[in-house]
Amino acid sequence: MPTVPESGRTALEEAPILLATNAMGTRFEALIAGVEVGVSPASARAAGEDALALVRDWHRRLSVFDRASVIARLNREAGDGPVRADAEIRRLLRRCVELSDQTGGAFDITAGALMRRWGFRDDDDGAGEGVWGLGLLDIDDEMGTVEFLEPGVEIDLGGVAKGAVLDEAVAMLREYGVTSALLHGGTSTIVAIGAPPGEQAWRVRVGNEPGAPIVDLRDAAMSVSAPSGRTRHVGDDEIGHIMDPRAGRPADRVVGAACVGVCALDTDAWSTALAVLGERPSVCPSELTTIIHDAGGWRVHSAGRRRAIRIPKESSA
Amino acid sequence: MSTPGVDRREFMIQAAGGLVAAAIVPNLARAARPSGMAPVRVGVVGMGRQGRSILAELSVIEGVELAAVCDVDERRLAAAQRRAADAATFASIDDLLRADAADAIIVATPTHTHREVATRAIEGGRHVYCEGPIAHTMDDAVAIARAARATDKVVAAGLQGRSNPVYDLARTFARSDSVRHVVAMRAQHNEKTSWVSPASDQTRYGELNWRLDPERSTGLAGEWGTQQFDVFHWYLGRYPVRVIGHGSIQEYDDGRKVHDTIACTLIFKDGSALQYGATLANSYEDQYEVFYGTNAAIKLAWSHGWMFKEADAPTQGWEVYANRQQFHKDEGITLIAGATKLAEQGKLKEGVGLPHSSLYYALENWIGAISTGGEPACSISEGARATAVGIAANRACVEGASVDIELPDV
Repeated sequence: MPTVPESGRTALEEAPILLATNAMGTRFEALIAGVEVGVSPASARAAGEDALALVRDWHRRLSVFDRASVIARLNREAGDGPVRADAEIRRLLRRCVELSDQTGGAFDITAGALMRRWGFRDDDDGAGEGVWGLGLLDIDDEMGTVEFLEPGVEIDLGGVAKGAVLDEAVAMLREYGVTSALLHGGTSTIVAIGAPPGEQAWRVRVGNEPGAPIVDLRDAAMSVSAPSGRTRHVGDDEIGHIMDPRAGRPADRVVGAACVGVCALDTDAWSTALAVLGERPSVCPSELTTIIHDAGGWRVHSAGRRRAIRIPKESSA
Repeated sequence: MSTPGVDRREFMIQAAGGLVAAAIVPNLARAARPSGMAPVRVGVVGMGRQGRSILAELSVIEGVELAAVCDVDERRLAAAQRRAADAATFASIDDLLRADAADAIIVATPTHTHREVATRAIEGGRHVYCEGPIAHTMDDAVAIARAARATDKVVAAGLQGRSNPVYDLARTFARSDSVRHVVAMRAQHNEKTSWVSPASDQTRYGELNWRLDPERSTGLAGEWGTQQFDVFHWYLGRYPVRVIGHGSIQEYDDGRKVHDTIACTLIFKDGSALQYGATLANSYEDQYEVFYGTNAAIKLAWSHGWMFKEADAPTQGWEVYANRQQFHKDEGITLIAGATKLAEQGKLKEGVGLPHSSLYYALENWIGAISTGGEPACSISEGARATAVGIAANRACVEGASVDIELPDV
């Protein structure tokens, strides 16, 4: 059996561990750069493997494209009556409903049918118009069930699944003694544990465009939403995959939006909402830093020094 | 004749679906659970990755009350509670039994501890589901099987193929003229992982990394292979008599003694052979089992199954309408569970898998047997025999030798 050598906090400085897995239609990566004293590189690698196994596990539970997932089953059956779901799923759905309320419906996990209507589901089963909106989910913790209050509701966690699972993965890594790491899902949701050894923060650039802001992340999460992330053509028009549930059509007010905070689930939901709204609403929690990129350039609302943002000189803002 | 409101193409698809259903739908119907019956109070012992997967599946099975979770590790217990909020927590099987917190126990602890947990639960009058392999030694496997023989409770082995609807469906083909004479078999389990469990101190590291300890581990052939070997036992109705193995450490040069890559050949009395390979260094094609017959090959991949016909095999009527998938130069007929309903919904299409995980069906089958007083799909005796094959295969790989397989008398 491999042994556990005594090691220090800087044990991984010279050889950080990079692990990756494919899930949720993209590539997740975990870069582990530092651990607590006593945690060996082998154990750090194993912690990373466990964290990515957790990502794959959640993918199987949340994917609308996998018939065996909890969400696919809810979409098939919860319109006909209560369907059993475990406590973790119910807690996740409840938080999503809270975020839907908080964002005034700009972020809405019940808008799966809207994605289908605009051709962002890879099937042609002729589903009806569908319904979406606030107040359509009944989550009953006493009975351990979820029910759609109208037929035609379809949950789609595409906007928050990466954040939700990265929050879980980060919690797991911290429990195993990881003190410095950067995790991301397809580069659109990024979570930082601590900072790189010898540095103050993980430095992340928001997108590839010249002048894009650079964000310093330390024990923080950042999510980016851009309609151009996935597009399709409808006639002569190119439409993006971010839907405005209030208007029932693709959102087109921004080039992109980003949100920085502590919880990746929340930053995922808010970056989607910002992309829909096109501006930071007054109800946006003050602890969230927001970045909106539109025709006028970059607009940054910073939540303080801890998550510092630099706008390079070439920025158009 | 036409059906009002249904165009010809749709009618053809529906009709085809009906034919397909008649030919290739597995029996998804389960024994009905008597109405008004109290739910089965289930306790899960062992809150590692498999234990947590079990919690997720149990929470959606009708007739189950997720009553207790048990692990010596507080961190793992806390993680389990996030998934099973109402379950009582225990640090030992004895505490769980003393508190009378569950009527049925699932053993998802490290393999070398199965005997202790399973026999205590059986002797404590509980129904038991024991993950496979059921033990790391034949003495332990036999002890569990003998304890099970002395109880009227339902004691099942967690070998999932026997309760998997796709596997059940494919078995009807494998045992018919559709496949005809099975001349060869192949299976693999490839997964890129170090097989190390993280831990913050040496003591816990040793406890959690039992799979890398040759004294406590049945290696890749036992820990992974047993599950897959049993599929072949079940399909063929017989067991291999000899196994030739080889193993090596190809990737993880960290002082381990347990091989990270193995290959073995399990030989049956008629001379046919099952080639098995497993590695921790590559994930290509994950895990699957293949039966090569003179009329067709069947490939099984847990949630999916396909049949690949020989060009000279007789054509069966339903094949014209069957769903197909292309694999390089070969075309597979998809073996679809629940095809009737899918056809009615117009969703009979490429890549349709099971609506639940394989683990779900295994647990549901065991709960159904408890509720109805029936037999589980995989008895603990079958589990002991499959474990014997897994242990022999591991020994063959460790020794690089040919090992005769002796089945226990259970």
